[in-house]
Amino acid sequence: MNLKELFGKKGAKTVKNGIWREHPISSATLGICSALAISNKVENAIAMSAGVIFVLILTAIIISLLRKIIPSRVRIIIYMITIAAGVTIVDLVLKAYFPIISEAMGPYVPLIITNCIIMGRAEAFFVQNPTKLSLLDALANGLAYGYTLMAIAIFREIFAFGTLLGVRVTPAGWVDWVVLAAPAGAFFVLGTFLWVTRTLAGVEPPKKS
Amino acid sequence: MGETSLLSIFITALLIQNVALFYLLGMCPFVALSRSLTTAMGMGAAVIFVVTLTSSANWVIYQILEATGSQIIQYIVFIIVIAACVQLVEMIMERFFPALQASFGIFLPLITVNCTVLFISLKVTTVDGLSYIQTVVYSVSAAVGFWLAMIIVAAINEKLDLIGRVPKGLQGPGIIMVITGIIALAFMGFSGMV
Amino acid sequence: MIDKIKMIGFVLVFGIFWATALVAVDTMTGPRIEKYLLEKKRKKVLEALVIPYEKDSVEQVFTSNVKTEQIDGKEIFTAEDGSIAFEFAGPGSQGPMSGVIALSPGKDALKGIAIITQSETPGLGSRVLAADNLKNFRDKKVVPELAVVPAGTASAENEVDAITGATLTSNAIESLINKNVKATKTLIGQ
Repeated sequence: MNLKELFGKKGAKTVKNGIWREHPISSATLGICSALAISNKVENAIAMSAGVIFVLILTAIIISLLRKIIPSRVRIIIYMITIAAGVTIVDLVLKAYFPIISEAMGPYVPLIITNCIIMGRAEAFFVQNPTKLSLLDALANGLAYGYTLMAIAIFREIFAFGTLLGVRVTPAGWVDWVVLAAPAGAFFVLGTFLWVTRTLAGVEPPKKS
Repeated sequence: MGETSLLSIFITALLIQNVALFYLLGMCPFVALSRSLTTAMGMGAAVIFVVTLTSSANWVIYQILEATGSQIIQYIVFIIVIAACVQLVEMIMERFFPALQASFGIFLPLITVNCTVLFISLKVTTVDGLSYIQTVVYSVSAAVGFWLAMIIVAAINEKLDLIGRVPKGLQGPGIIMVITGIIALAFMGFSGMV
Repeated sequence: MIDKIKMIGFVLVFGIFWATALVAVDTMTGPRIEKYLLEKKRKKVLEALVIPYEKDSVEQVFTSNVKTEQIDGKEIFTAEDGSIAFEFAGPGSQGPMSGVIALSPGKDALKGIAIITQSETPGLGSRVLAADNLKNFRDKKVVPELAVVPAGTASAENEVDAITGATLTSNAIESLINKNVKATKTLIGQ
């Protein structure tokens, strides 16, 4: 199945961009906060990704539908209201239907509001593009964010806790690398991840300031 | 945390539960602006000011929200208040301190979407339920802690730029992550202090 | 001028739309959340009182075994055998801690403890507060005071072993227990 056939030429480019070339975390270094904070257990990473994708899609739909009538000077406020409302919904749904995960993620759920990815896409894409493309962009960026979070979380959970989604996977006698459960460990794992993906995708290092 | 002393709030926020190194927040600007010491200094100062202002404002507003039972719109209201405060600060600076504005300029809008600002507003209201004075102390301490982390990492990064041979893929955000990780590890040593 | 009105109007309408939508979602999820929080509290009270329960029978076990009363604004839970339980909250070593303390019918020893929230160091401090370790606190005397002593040295009836490497958390829980037990005993007039 060719991407082009599925989504049309423009759509294919949008998807490829979102997932690899302009990956939100690797190349634009957006949305790092949660990549660090929520990535120590896979189930939290899944919940966070789901939350971010939901808000991305909601924002994509609303903003692209209203893009022709949003007064330009207040567009940022409109993004904020939409995103904040979407996140409130995610927060409530988590508290009601997945209370254990909600407690584990704690104060990081409302911080989806400040996740630069969503604001960034709203301004750079949703407000200028038709709904269908915006939805694709939202999905692509969301999934890219999701797979990164999970890659880091799988690595951290296995090495720091010895489990995967709560199921013990390391052999007995394995000593957990507890440092990876701590915030400090998150930095190391993310640093390594950035190193690998940026080298592979050929991203140019930022110029010296 | 009703009886926690102000001093212990200060030390905890500064060193033990450092917003950047423990809660892992504010990373977007942290990574972007830790490349040089001067930008780190500027950003840090701006953050301290904005955080204290916004959390004070949001604290007051939260009392109103609680009194009227409308906490459901808390997130929307908080983020708009933050944006408004930042706009206000920008306008005041443009009018009265134009030179300062020129050097701070780009950092201010970045701060609006800085997770630290929203986080602190939320922490002092819903998560910890602090009093007003505690809120101010906490906000200042946390912001100073953020600043502290930034300048340490920036200083190390600058040195590394001069003498190190950082692999290409690691340059920029990658090496900042590694440096920050090491500093975070170091700060973990503070956890016995309070 | 018209433009300004249009702008503000747009934002207001947009804001009101979303506020209403959120109130709707809140009404739908509210009862479920409250039910969960109530059940959670009850589980902790049962845990502290060492009354066994099944996952699905919390409400039933609670209502048939525990009586709730309000004394001076504080909820006191009394079990059939006379032991009482109450919530406590205070500073831990890394952040606020809260839970339920239960006293024996004679009010001079701990029946049990359950922790609701804590933010101690994972793998170190939090081990003191793990359910398994909390069992060590059961039946320990709180008169004159509970004492958490270096690991392996507990001998008297009011001493509990600390965990090496988790001194601060051990100290925090010790002082929280003593303080809150004293306060509650004063409250109920003992």
